[in-house]
Formats: sequence, structure tokens, C-alpha cells
Amino acid sequence: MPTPTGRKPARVVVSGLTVTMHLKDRSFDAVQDASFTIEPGQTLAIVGPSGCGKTTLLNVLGGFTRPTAGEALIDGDPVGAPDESRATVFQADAVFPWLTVRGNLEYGPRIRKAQDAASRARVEHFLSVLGLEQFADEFPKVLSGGMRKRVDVGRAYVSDPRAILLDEPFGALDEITKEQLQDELVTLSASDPKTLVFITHDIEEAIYVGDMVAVMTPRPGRIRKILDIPFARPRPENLRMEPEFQELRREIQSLLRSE
Amino acid sequence: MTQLDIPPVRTVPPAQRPRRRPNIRILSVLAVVFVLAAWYVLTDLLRVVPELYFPSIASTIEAGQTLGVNLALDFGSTAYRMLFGWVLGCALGILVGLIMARSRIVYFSANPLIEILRPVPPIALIPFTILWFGLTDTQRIALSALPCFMTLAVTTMEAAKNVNPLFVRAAQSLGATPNQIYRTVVLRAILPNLVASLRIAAALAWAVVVSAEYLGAQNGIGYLILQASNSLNTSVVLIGTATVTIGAFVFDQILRLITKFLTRWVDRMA
Repeated sequence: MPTPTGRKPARVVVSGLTVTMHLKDRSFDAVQDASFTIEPGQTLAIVGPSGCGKTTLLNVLGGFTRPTAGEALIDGDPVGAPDESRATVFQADAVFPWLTVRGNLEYGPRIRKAQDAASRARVEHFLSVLGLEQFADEFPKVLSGGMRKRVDVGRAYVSDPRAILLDEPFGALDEITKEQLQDELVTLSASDPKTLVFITHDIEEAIYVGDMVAVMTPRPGRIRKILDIPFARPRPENLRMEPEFQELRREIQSLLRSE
Repeated sequence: MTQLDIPPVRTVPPAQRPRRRPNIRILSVLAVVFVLAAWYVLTDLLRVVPELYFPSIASTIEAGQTLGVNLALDFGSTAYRMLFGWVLGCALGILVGLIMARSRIVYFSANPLIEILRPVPPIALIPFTILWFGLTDTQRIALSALPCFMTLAVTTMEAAKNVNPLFVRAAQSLGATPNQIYRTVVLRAILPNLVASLRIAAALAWAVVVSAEYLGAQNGIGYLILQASNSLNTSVVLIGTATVTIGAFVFDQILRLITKFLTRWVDRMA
């Protein structure tokens, strides 16, 4: 199926980014001196244990948190307040329950008064590739967790942002559904390239979806290392069983252990 | 080897067809029939209860025939005032509730006033409202709008503050402006929480309108009841009371159906 053409993906540059959090009696760096560059259309997976500052980092990119020092650039412009240039997919269910599945996917173009033939084609396209066609006119209450996540991801893609920020999007799903959605995301990023920032605590997931994996460790939240992922896209079958995959997995695991 | 003679413990009952529950709806019908029968026996048949205390069925029907279209006209006046006051009060209440949830300045200035005025029984304000508005429909409408406003302002504010922030963030990241977020997210998300308040406000509005009609109205069910009560015409009192009760009940049912449709997306237990 031909993909309706979308906006060009963005180049995301983060340099020397620090976010200091203030508690009642002390301050600490949730993110300290983080730097990376994501080329347009590439996926950066950020993996780390909970509390390592990865969500804070994503919130800076989303415009929900201001950095204390350093900067985050989208195509050279510093990130400002949240807007349609980057869509966010949260771990918890943020599908609008009062809109049908189609209504949710249409939300972005509708709110920007940009509903036209192209946006309608995008809605139908993503309903189809995400297997949501038969539920298009249902309310989310009838959907399973996995289907709701597909609506969430579809809504972000239809909105046609330049980057999509995913905060442990599949964290609450069962193993089988999770792997299906990882495959769908990898397929989407080939057919409709967007710059993706994918936060996860699951090492295999990070390697599977990422072109690069940034390994983060907590207190202070630092990026230990950024690894290139050499595997072909779409991912070959049984990639997770391959020795190179397991080798990468072991490397990331030891990086996370040797805090 | 000795076989221990212990009966197996059944922790899970064997699968069986769900037992049909006896249909007890008949009880509701029987209860109504019983009250009607008691009414008939005590008034029409045995005449134990004097007409003055409670009218017989026969005289009630007769009074209804005498009133005829006038009853409908009186009910129309009452329903018009109630509906006007309810719509006005609820709309203003929702508006102020939303603004209070959004602006701390408005919240800290308006909230104490609302909290102080909320317990004032609307009926206690009848003399003042007559002074301000005269013996007009405006006075009755304003009076019935008041409890609707109070109820909706408080519930709307609480509901709007409790909207899941993820919905707001998601809308922002899809390009929604603050006003659009209010229209497309907050107003939609709070609706299920407003349904009960809208129905309670309607019941209050009926009560207040009928009370307001006791004083200086020239028509309406309250006027009808007071006139009949002054001439000890209890069958008309009863008919007036029954009419406004049925009117309020029907309105509540319509409201229930409309709000059920508007909140059909809510994941309900039943």
C-alpha cells in the first residue's frame, strides 16, 4: 500500500543537557550532561532502570519540562512549548475514550483545521496498517490494551509530526502483544519515516526497535554509552535468538550493572 | 496401601447453567396496585378518611375533569419557568466552574462567596428576589436558577481539576491550543461527572419554582395548589401535586436518556 506522503522527519540534537530537580531538602540532577544526535528518520532507543532520568529527558524534548542547562534542538530550533512538531505516546492509556477509534486518529488534523483528502487518506492508511479497520467506529472501551496502544501510535502518526516521542509505550503489555507492536513500529518507521525517541527499560526492546541505543544510569542520570545497532530493517525473523543480538544484550546489561 | 476415605473437597462448583432468578419486577407493580387499592378502600369504599384530609378517587377524577385544559396551562407555565431557570443556572454554573478550575485568581475570589451562599435555602430568598425583580417570571426563573448554578459550579470545578493530565498533554502534543483543549478534552472528560448534578439541579429547580409560585403568581402549579388549599379543595391540591411530580419524573427520565447517550463511551459496570 502506498504511504500518503508526510512531513520530513527532523534532526534531533541534544547537547550538554542537564535537568536539576529540587526536592524539599535537596537537589539532584535527573539528567546530567546528556548529548546525542538523531539523524532524520532514525530511532534512538533510550534504555535504563526506572529513576534514571529517561522520562525527564523525553519531557524536555516534548516541551513539558525545561532544561536547567544545555539545549535540545529540533532541526536547529530550540524546543519550546508542546506543539504538533513532536507527538508523544505515553505508557499509560491516553486514548480519548469519548472519541471513536477513527475520531482519535483524526484528532490532530481536525484540531489544526487541516482535514483534507490527504489527511483522510492518512487516517485510512494507519487504520489499515495497524489492523484497526474493523474497530474504526467503536469507542476505545471495547478495545484490548494492545489495540488501544495501536490507536495511540496511529494518532501520533496521523498527526504527521517531525518526531514521535514514546515513553515506555509497550511497558504495560504482555510479551506477545509487545513483540507484535515492536514489529509494527519497525515496519512503520520504514514506510513512514519519523525521527523516533523510544524510552524503555527492556533491553531487548531497545535493541529491536532502535537504530541506536543510549544506555542511561541513574543518580545522576547520565548517558553511559550510545551503541549502533547493525541489524537490517525490517528485522529478520528470530533476530532475538541471533548471537550478535545476544552479544549486544550482554554488553548493555553489563553497562547497566557497572554503575 | 490403605485408601484414605476422605471425600474430595469441592472448591469450585461444577459448571452448570446459571440459575434463573425469579422475576421480582412483579413486586413493583404489586406495590403500586396495593397503594391504589388502599386509597380506594379507605376513601371511596369505606369512607374512613374524610375528603378534607385525603380526597377520594372519584372526586379527584371529577376535579381533574373540571380543571381540564387549565391544568395543562398551569403545568406549562411551571415547566417553562423551571426549564428556563435550569438551563440558565446550569450553563452559568458550568462556565464559572470551568473558569474557577482554570484561574487561581478567580478561584480564590469566587470560591468563598459560593461556599458562603451555597447553604442559603433559595426559598429564604423569595422576599429579596421579589424586591429586586418584582412579581415577575424573571423572579421565579432567577430563583430556580440559583441552586442549579451552585450545584453545577462546584461539581464542574472539581471535575475539571481532576481531568487526567495525560489527556491534556496528548492534546498539546497533537497541536491543540488551550481553548481547544477546553472544548475538545476538558468539556468531554467532565461530562460523566456532571450527569448526576444536572439531574439533582433539575429536581431542585422544580421544587423552587413551585414554591416561588405560592407567592404572587397568577398561574402555575404552585398557584393552583395554593388557591385550592385556601378553599380546602384537597382534590385539586392532590392533582396539582401529582402533575408536578409526574412532570419532574418524566423530565428526569428524558434527561437520563440524553445523558446516557452522550456518555455512551464510558466503560460502565452495567
